[in-house]
Amino acid sequence: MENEFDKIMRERLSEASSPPSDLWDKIEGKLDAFENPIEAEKSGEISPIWKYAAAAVVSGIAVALGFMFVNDGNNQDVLIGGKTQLPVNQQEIQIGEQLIPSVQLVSVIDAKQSLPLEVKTSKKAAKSVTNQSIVDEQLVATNDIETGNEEVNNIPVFSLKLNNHKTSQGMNDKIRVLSGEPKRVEVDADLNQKQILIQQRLRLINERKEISNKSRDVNQ
Amino acid sequence: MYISQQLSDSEIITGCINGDRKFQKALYEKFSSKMFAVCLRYAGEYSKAEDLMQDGFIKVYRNIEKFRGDGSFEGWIRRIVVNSCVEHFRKKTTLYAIQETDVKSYEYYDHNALESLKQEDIMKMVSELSNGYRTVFNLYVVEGYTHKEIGEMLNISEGTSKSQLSRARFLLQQKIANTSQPALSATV
Repeated sequence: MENEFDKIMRERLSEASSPPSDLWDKIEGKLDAFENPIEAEKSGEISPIWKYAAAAVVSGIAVALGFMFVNDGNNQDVLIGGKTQLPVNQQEIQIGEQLIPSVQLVSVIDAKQSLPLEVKTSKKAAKSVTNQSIVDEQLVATNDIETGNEEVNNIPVFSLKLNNHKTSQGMNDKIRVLSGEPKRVEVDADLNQKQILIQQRLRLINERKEISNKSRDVNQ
Repeated sequence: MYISQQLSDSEIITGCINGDRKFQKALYEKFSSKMFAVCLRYAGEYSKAEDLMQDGFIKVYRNIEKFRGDGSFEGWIRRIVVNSCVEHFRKKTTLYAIQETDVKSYEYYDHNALESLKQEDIMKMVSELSNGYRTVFNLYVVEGYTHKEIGEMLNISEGTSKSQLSRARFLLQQKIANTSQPALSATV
């Protein structure tokens, strides 16, 4: 049997209550939002969500390409791959009585020829080799070469990074490098005119000394 | 005269299935007052009642083609709106059982005090209840659901539903007693 309190409460609470006057407008707006996507698909229009997604994808691709371009831009590495060790000779160059300490000489062409055929070299590397004009007798100072050991697909790759150091033309033009174990390298005296003059003067001084010594002996 | 008063339920249903805005508005005009009262009872405040009303009617329009004609059209709309309100409440509140010994009850015998109150006053008293008490009270007293059905809807036990209802009755009767001057006796 129903509680009398509940009965009265139900009767009073079941009475109608007027909604706000603008409530239908809000419901109609939601109906339009619900129905319009269907009409948009029928008319061939593209939903704005897909437009934003496409823009995001294009932006991501552009950023990725930008990173790739920047990282590849200023690379002057000369990639030389292979298991063969680069022929680096420790040598000393003597100019007159002066010795140039520990110059590492690297023959790029020799290194390149010793590589296995499957090794790839970058286009920049090939270009830098040819533009060096050369050649296997060109010397590069120790501090100009940085050698690194990088493995690409488990194949050791030696990379040479050539800095922009220019060796003096006069010094290197007539230097002949003798291959083999570290040893002294004799250089032609006429290479350096200053050194030549110094040697001549020293010779004259020595001759005068000999002459003066001889005359002293004779007088005695 | 509203256009809804000239149209039958079957005409409104057919027009709404076709998506005709005129018939959709007619449906709203015909049932909005009663459904808004339902939403007010569950919401507890006016602004939330508007939101519940919008959600409820949108569901009615989207599911109107599922109406099979067994039972009244108004009863079908009411069930959709009530379920929409209950679903909104269920996401926000967890109900806990109340010990029966903790529930106090009033025995009032002055019906005039209750009947003298306006509908707005009673609605205000109901809105002041907590979410759990208010929802169970509405479902049992006004909608006519059993405690078993309420338990399934709210994912609570029958015992919890009963204790929530008892507590709701007590609080409402206490409020009514405070607003009137009948000779009431309280039993603990």
